[in-house]
Amino acid sequence: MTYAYGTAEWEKAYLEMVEKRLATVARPYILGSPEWVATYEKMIQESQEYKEAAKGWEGTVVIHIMANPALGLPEDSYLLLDLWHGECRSVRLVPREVGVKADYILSGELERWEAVTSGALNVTKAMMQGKIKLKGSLAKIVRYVKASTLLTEIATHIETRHLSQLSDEEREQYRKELNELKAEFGF
Amino acid sequence: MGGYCGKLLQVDLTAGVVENIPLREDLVENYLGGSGIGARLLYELLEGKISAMDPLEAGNPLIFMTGPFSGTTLPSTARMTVNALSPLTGIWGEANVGGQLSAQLKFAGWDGVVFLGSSAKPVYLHIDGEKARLLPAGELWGQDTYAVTDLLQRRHGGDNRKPAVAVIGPAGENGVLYASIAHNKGHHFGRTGMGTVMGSKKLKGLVVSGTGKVDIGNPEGYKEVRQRLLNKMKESLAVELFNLYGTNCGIDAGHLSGDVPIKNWQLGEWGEGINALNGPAFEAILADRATCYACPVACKRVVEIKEGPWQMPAGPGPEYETITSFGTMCMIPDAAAVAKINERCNQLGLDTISCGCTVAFAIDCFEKGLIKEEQTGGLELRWNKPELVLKLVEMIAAREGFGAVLALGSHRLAEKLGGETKKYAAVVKKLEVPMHDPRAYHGLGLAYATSIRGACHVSGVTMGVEQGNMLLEDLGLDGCHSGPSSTGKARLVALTQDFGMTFTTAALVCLLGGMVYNERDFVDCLSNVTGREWTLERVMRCGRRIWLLKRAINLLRGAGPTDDCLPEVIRTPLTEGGAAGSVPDMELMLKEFSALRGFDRDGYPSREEMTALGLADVYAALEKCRRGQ
Ligand code: SF4
Repeated sequence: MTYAYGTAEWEKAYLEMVEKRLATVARPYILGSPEWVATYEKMIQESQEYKEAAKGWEGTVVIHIMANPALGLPEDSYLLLDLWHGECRSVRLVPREVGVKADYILSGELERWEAVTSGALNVTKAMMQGKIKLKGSLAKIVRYVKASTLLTEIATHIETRHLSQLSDEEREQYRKELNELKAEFGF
Repeated sequence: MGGYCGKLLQVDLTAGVVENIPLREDLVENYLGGSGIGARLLYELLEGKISAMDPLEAGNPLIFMTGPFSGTTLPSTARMTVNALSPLTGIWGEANVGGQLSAQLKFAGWDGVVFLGSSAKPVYLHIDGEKARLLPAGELWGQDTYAVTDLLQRRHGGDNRKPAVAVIGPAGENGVLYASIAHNKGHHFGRTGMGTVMGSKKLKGLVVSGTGKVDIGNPEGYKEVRQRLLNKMKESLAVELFNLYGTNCGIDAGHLSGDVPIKNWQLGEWGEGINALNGPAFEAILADRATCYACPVACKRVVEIKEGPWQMPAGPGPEYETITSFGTMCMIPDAAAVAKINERCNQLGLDTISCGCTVAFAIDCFEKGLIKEEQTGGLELRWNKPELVLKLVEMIAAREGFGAVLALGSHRLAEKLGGETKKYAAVVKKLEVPMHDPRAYHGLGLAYATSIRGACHVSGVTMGVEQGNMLLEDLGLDGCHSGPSSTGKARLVALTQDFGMTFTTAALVCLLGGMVYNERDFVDCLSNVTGREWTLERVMRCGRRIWLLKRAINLLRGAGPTDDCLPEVIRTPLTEGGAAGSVPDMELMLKEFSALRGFDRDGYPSREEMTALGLADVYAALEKCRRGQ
């Protein structure tokens, strides 16, 4: 069954899917997988420091991971962070057409995000170096530099498996799962 | 010859004679331009006399130099340099500036101006194309830089032309040791007291206009590399940020990483102060943005304050270094107050880094009870007293009361105050440390310690590379460096010093917009502008030659390896903030650095290397000096 993003059905089915995967998929989770995204959401929501730093922040942020078919990511991924005055209302994998409309989009190749989440690449530096591109009001991001830094710092604390670390078999399996999710949820 | 006019103006101020001298081919070949050529010229002019020369004597030459890119439309290349022995540090002195001056001088047909001797009466140099003459400046003496700039631009400008003006203010005339030279009001040759040297020569300023253009060696290749750089700039977030908030754009991120000095380097965190001094805080008084010649970045601010105690008409706004040296260092959380202090420093002709840091140091000593009101002439020096700071700035420029002591800079102030005060003076080789904290970026600590002119964040590209804003991947510097770590930093510093000597000090590419250049871009610019073949290897060799020559000048002036150190206040760990607990391992880095540079036990460069780089004569002078001859 295919759900339409933005409907209550989509949200319900998404949460059920995540719950099921959290119960069955072994840790560490693959970067950008639904279970990784759910862990990320929980950690942001639990961060008191983020709440403080992001007071007054309004706007959705998308982490855009560019496709890398060779590594097992056949299409671009969009992780939508719904952030509002220090609260992280949700983090979801969303369809492309939704992701590209976010207020802020951080775009980068899979390898860059792997380096960011492993702590090898600082996201601010990566943006300055053009390794990660920002779309959205720079003036506003600069005002919330601590909150933005914390968002990526939190991601480094998730125990993560990178696609580049998977065996061919695991990669094939993950690719299949992504195709099924796409059919169901549109991402 | 592409990129050069092929001649210099030599002005004998004692005799009042202005001459045209050719720019020698060997200087261009080996030292490229800017302070590379400046250093060689100074060395030759003072040969045999360097060690004994008093920087305020008539014999100290004052050399203004452009680079091969000056006057071209390559982005972020509008810098110009001025060189002399420094009265503040006693060693090699160097300051640089953006704006219009370097382009105008090239359009007038000159690569540089060398001032010799000293005038009996105040004068200024008027350059109008090929014509150059000294004119009396008696009525200008004593006037501030803004008034004199307006007057000279009116006097020598026309309907459609505004000459470039560079003048000193009362601080330079009165011998404040860190006097600046103001160019078109807001751009300053700030560091090492070059305005003081100018004042000692009774030279009030230069007025320059030209209508020529710069020859390009290979116009097709030039067009391609210029477009490549412009495209990069369009894409660059750093450039967008500099345009948005000026050089102050990084203060929030810098505060997080521990890069911003606070309370005379002794506080690691000050959120409320940063919020009152950051980019958005200055928006309330931002009137406009401005830029240097042909630079698409436009990082300059124009501010205007219409209400409140700090009113000022629209004029140049403060840069990051000023916002921190007076704002965070003196604990003044007030953008308007800092803008006003900046305006007065500009008008009086003061280096805002040395001035702000010296004032912060004095306040710190007073707050700690290390100095008393008897020493300050009854002034109570406290944090967050902008009115007091403004008063001190006036007193410094006039060398009045306690201001006369502050006018000597932090090092001499500590010597005069004695006791424990020395611990809190943040200087390297007597030059106040600029506003980036080596406890957050250890490589910068080594760069400060071994920098030629004293603590300097611009002559090498260490800061940009270590902070990850500039990538030099062909040199193996990929921008992934951990700031608070000393491992591998000696190599990073040696490479960025050599590259930076050619890039920022000889070719005079601006460090800010210049962050988009990589090695290949730079080499392509050099080859296409000059029409001669440049390679990365040649760039590094040229940089090493310039670095060693300047280092030799310092050695001849008595500044050796024991001066390559960081002040105690910066070697003390902070207890809070992004750099809490972190201190550069200077011993390790200096040891590695010395090995990489091939220094002997006394910190002298080797004969082989100096000879291979064409510096055999300099090596011989060093040997003579070592033997005490
Ligand atoms: S980046 Fe800024 S300081 Fe540098 S040349 Fe351009 S406008 Fe001038």
